[in-house]
Amino acid sequence: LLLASFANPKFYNDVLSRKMTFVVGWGTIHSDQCDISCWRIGNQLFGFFMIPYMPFLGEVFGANRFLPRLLTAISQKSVLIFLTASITACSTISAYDQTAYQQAVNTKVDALVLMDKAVEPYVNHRNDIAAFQTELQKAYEYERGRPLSKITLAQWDILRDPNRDLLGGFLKEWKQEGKLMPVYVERKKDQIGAAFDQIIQLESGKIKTAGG
Amino acid sequence: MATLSNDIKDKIAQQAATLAQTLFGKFINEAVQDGKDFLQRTENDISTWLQDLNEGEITQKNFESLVRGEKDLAEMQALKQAGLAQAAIDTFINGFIQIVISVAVKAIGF
Repeated sequence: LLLASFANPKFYNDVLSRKMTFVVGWGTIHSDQCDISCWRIGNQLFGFFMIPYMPFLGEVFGANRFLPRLLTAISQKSVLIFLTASITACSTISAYDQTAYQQAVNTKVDALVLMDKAVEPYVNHRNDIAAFQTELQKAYEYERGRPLSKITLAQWDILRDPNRDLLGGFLKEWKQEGKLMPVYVERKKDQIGAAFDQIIQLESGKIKTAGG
Repeated sequence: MATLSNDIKDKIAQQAATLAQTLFGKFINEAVQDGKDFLQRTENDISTWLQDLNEGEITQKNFESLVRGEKDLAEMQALKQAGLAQAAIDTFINGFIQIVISVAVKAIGF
């Protein structure tokens, strides 16, 4: 209510609605429904915008001498809110996700353990391979459900593709050949381990949010 | 509509430049080092695989798969750098917004 207290009574509701849109991240601005949550203003920055007002809020309620200054400041700050809102942009890539990171690490470990068995006949490890492929699919589907994960998904696609020469290709080769040479398996483990590291390093390099 | 003074704009530009220098300078150095490490690793690997092939530890088909796998790995690394660049841009934008707010709020007198 304080946010619109200086407004012309005729426009009070319009001003209040507009300002509350910036406070909560969505609402009505001049009759238009707006969702500005992707601008990273609203709930996340509400506390930040309120910080300068905090020392005054208590005073305002106890002494009216601060009221004119506070209201002027609010008026100026509302201009700032518009200015900053106009220069903000949505994220271009998903933020760090602990589950995605953990899944990539776990899948890497399980992949390398499974690859060790490729020196033995494929048919002896059908169940292990099926269980691993389910785990791999779960990690992929988790990533697919995240917003702005196009780049990480492209990495998983290369890694899983049976027509390429990383994990997908290795499993296909194992199936076709029956079993593989020990030195080859070791070399492939290094290569596929490094491929998993690209996914893991990208995830750990993403922006860490408070919730992440 | 109120506008920001030149003094405020200068302060914002100065702090944004420092932020960009720190953030993107670090990113570029890391990306260059990552690329160098990759080339070095590939060079060593190919040399090892050739030796394995000569000693009959791997087949010609295995060797070819390892070389093609290196190409796939290079693609994954390029994607990682693209993703890290996007994350750096997002970090810069967030930092820039905080600079604008902080400088402008200070200028008002709080």
